[in-house]
Amino acid sequence: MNTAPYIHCGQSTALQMLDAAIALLPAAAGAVWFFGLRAAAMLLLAVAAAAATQFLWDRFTGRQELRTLTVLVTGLLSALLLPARAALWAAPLGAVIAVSVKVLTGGIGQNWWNPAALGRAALLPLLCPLALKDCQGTFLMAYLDGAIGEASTLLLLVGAAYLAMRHLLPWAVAVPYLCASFLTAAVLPHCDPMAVLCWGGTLLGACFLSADPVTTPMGLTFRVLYGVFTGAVSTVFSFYGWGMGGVVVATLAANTAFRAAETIAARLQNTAELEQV
Amino acid sequence: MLPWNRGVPMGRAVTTPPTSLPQQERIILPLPRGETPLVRVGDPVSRGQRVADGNGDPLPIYAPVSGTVAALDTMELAAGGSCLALILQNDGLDTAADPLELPDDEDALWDSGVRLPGGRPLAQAVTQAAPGLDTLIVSAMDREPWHCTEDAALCLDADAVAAGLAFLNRQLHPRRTLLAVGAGQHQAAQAAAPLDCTVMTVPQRYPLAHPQLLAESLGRLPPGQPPQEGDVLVLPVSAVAAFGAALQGTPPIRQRVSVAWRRGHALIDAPMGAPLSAILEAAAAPDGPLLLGGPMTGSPLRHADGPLVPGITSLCVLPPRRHRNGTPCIRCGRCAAVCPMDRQPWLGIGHCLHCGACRYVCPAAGYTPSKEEVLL
Repeated sequence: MNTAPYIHCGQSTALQMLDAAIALLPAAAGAVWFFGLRAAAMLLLAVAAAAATQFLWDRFTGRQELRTLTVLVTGLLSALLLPARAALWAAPLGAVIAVSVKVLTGGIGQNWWNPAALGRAALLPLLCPLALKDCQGTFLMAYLDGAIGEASTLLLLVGAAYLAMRHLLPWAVAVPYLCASFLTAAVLPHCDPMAVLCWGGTLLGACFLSADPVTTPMGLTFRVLYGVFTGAVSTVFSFYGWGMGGVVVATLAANTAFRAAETIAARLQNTAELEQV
Repeated sequence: MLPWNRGVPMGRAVTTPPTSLPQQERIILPLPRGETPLVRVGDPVSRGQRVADGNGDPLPIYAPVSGTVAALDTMELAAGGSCLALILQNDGLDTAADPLELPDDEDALWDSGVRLPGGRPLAQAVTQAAPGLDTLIVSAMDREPWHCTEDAALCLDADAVAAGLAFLNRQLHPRRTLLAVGAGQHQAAQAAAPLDCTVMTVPQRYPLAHPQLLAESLGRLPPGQPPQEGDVLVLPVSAVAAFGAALQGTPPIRQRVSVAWRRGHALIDAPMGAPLSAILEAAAAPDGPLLLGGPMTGSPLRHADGPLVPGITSLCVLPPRRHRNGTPCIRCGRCAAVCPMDRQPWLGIGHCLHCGACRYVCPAAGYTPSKEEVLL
């Protein structure tokens, strides 16, 4: 920078994304442990596909987004959100859709929707019957039938603890999210709130999908509302059998609603300020 | 890399006594505000002699060394630009003039020739605030990370601070006199104990030492409003110490300069008008781009041979650093989390102190601090 300040804390977008990817590693290791080489292949293919897509888009549009390492997070999440029974091409396809939509909606910083959630949602029509079959019954049934990333809540907690240690965990989203999930489950009939809290999908939505700074709101009020909205809606969707699909659809709906609300609020605030002057 | 939410690391303690700058052969006294010289070329001068009288803001200038007036010429200033300056040839004898005698009224502030860091006359700040002053806040906190001139002023010149403070209390009759000390400044807190004021401890976090924030936190100024005239006055303790020393007979002819770099710092006691390059040499600072002021709000040093003038209390040597491209804003919101004015920098509205805390923590910020770019 050529103007003050002349010192910097050293944090960068790439380091932040690297930390987010590291936080996903325990869950990824758990996926490989529980589901074997198939999960490992899904993870590797998804990351490779995300990186390759980003590389091609960078060449094509003159961007320099590969070096921000967002593809690591997008790739890992794209695979972790899929069930083990999904076809092998599903994970890379999700990653390609995720990265492409991100680039086409303006690239890093401008995209309204969480890329990984969007890639997963795009696959819903293909996987819907499977997802419906998997996720009937209680939430703990999701253990080995759900997405490979939600297999172990404990490993997800380890990753979340790492995020918190690196000051990357959005508390203002995660805590309201978990509270809203718990309360919604308590209201729903024949639903165990503790099971919802212990379900890996809830944690994945609260701590990892919402840890993407670009698609979560910036202000404290909006963050809390975002957490409450996403937590409640994803619990309802999951209760009616959508499983992980419910979480991603809720996330995308919240992304859209809150980005729009934020944009409008910023306009109003700017206008009010101009009128004062 | 430091956790971003700890903010900018603050507070380097005064660990060693200040180093005195060796005698300088040539002393340059700039007259940037059209001051009238009271001496002619060839005249002998003694240390502490009044050599110029003010015109616009009538602050006099005193000779920092004894010797002869060598020339009256246009000289380049450290911050850029140039102006007429008295050039003194030091004879090395250090012949002292009669001690300064100041009247016991408001004129003493003007006659002392003391300026605040940044160059504003102390007298102007005090006279503007004089009628109906509620709270006088003397700040012993350094405004910028890496530096310790304010801390040093209180630790080393407690007597002068006491004299200056007594005068200000007598003249201004503030309802409360507070002395702001950083939480880590134990030595300064000890030095402040016998003073005629209430010592307040403030967290040592950038930019809480900003006058406006001190006025808000200690002086109960409504947040977001600039300090109103006649309500709260925030003065740095170094200026109070310099004024106290003038009351005791020594005009502000020497100044402590804090020279800081990433891993070290030095405190140099130098006469006014000494070239900054000599100060940097005495500090044994590493090479690198140079700044006037601190690393957060400083400005490039344009002429390292420029003279030390009132207002320059700190110099910075920047670390050599590679170029880094920024990325687009990733909306992490850290800028808002650290903003002392509770602004949302991405909206670009509200009152900004230009403290730079938002850019310090921004993970998307890029920088290009090559030597050439900083110097030119």
